[in-house]
Amino acid sequence: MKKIVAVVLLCIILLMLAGCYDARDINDAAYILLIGIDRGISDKFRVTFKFPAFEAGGAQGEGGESPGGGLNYKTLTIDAPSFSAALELANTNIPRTLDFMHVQFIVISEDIAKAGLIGEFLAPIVRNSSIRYSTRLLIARESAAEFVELLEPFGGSDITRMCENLINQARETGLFADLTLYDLHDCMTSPYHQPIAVLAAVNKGGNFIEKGPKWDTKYNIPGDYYAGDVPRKKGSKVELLGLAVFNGDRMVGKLTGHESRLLAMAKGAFEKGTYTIPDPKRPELNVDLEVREARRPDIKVWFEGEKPFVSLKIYLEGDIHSIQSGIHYETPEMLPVIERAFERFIKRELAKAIEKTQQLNCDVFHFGHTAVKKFETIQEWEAYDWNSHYKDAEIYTEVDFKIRRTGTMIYSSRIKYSGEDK
Amino acid sequence: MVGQGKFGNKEAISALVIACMAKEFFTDPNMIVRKVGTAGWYMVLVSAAVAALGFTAVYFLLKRFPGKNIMEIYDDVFGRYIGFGFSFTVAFVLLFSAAMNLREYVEIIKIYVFPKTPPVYLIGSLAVTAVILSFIGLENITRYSKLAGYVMLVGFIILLMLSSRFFRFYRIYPLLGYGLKNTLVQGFLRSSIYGEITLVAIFAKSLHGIQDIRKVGYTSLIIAASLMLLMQLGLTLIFTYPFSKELTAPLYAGASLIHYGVFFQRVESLFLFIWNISTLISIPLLFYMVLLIYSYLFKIDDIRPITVPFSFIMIALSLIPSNIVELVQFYIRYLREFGWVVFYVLPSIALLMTALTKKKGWQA
Repeated sequence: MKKIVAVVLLCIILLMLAGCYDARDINDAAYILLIGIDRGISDKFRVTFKFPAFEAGGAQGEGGESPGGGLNYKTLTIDAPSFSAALELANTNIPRTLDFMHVQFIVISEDIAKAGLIGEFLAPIVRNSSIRYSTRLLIARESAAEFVELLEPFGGSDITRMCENLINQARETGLFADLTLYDLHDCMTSPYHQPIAVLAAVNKGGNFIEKGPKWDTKYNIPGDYYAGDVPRKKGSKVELLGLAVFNGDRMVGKLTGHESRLLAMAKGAFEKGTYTIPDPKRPELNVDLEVREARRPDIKVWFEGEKPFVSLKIYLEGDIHSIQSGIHYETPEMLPVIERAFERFIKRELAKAIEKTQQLNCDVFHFGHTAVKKFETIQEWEAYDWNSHYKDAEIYTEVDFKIRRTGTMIYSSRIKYSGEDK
Repeated sequence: MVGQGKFGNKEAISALVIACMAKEFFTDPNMIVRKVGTAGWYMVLVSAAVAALGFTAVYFLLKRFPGKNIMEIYDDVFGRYIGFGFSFTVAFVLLFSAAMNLREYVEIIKIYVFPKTPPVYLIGSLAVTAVILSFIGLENITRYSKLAGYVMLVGFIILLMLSSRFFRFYRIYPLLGYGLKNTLVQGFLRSSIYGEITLVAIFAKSLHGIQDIRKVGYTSLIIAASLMLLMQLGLTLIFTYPFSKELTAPLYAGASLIHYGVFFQRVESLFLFIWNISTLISIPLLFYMVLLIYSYLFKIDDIRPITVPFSFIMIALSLIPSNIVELVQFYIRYLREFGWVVFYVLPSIALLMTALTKKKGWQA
């Protein structure tokens, strides 16, 4: 009898463990990959969802080739007073329940960010347990809906992999950062620093000039653009470059890709990047360096009365990638010439970037992380209000750069010309 | 009387540590940050020091009455009526604690994992588990605790290591949180987070003598305090204090941040495993302790007839809070802040009485 009861109980438990209440069939869900948020016209917000089509016939797209390695994507844009309301309304016309477990990017338009509506819009998102804090958050230069629409897989991948790989470029280049919903929400309420978010844009090729006078010997700092401004043609329709700077939940400024790299260097978050600087001996030509962080920066903060003082020392190292002039820098006497030139370049640019953020009164350089060590209690720290005092800080910078390797060449030979071409 | 079976020190230590830790996986870290800010990681050590003093009182009391459990000692020291009152108070607090922990677990799991499942279904499932485990007895509960304990410890350490990517040391500053005095006071008040260690006094007869009780109590306390320190420190390093104050279940939120590329993410299911198993041990353990005390007080030889009725009482109690805010900010808050009275003060009063009356177990 006992055995029969045990078997019956086991069967009942098996049925109960099937999770009938919260069971979700994959065919009943639309897995949202991208969410775009703009200011609405028919209602307060315009929310765009992008999700895989899951059309009949497996993963084959209509009409043969599709950019997503066989997957097609659909978008839905809806005007609603809030995210939750948009979600409800979306479910009235899509015969699948929207599921946010796989969201890659939440894209918010610059318009919303500047109006200080991010906090208002993010409130229901951060409370929603199905949207993960590790979801990346982007600020779209113009329309978030357009960005979401045009973000398509590039080079045979699917959107998930495309997004993941795109974000990985932050580590490869340092021209933007890998920032998530967690970062933005954490920083918005933080008394230690102010938030930043990645700038994103559709690149319509407007800065790519097909015809005109050829480039002379002027020098352009690489990556000194905002997203959408890179002079390029074709490739992916979208790009991530630079950072949006926030005061609380209001976007107050932007950093270019180049400034974003300097920011990463100062925060100890710079992995590597390629720099092109004018040749110290022949400024009309360039030297390419691959630069890495040698060790974490030294940051000291002290106070004289209420006024904060900051000392920042950055340690970098790198390899020579190219010397256009062919000058033989690969000697113990000449290497420091490049090293000092690069140090001066970074120091000058860093001072400009710091001044820019001080004008915005936004400590995105995280000096507050060191300043807080001077305070014993939260009451003292909050009463001082670091974020308000950042603009008054006197900041001294120092850069240390060492060349470690010279690439596959350890000696530069002069190019030989015949007499009349010299 | 009720036979509880005999078990070893490791089994007892596992059960007690799990019982202490289980409730910390829910809203407690949030409450700690709200009270002491960035000082939560060492506040748990202050609480552990107070709990050590409290347990020392329990230990000396048990030492004076060898071979007896705390209910028998209360009867010996205070007489039948006052002793009954003391033991009944302990039973009531344990039952209420089990019910509130049960409700807290259900509320959190509804938020994060099973949003559509009715709470009664979840509560019922846990209550059924408590009943089944009570039927199979304390010895089996503790043996299962030992088995699960190792796996859970490894899982906990893996989670901490994986989330170490998000550690930022500036977040522990300002070091004194809302002030040293505040941290000490809150550490004292919240010493009941280790209150379950004193359960050893209820199942004292299942261990092999007073030396084992001492060993089990202090070892459990040290392990629980170390894990609590690691957990609280980890959370402090992951979330700034204003963010931590907002999170319903900071530990779960921390686990859900873990993301190492497209193939290694969503490891919070590992945490969910630790969460569920620890709850499935701690609530039945508290429930079983209530049954033990009740059966002693009313001279019931077999706990089985009272198991199902008590599970209904536990379910009813768990349904008292009308919402999560009331549950956390009223019921759980006062249980944590005044639990020390039941866990440490009652045995201390008994110890004081025995010292004043020079009463000893072998003289009784």
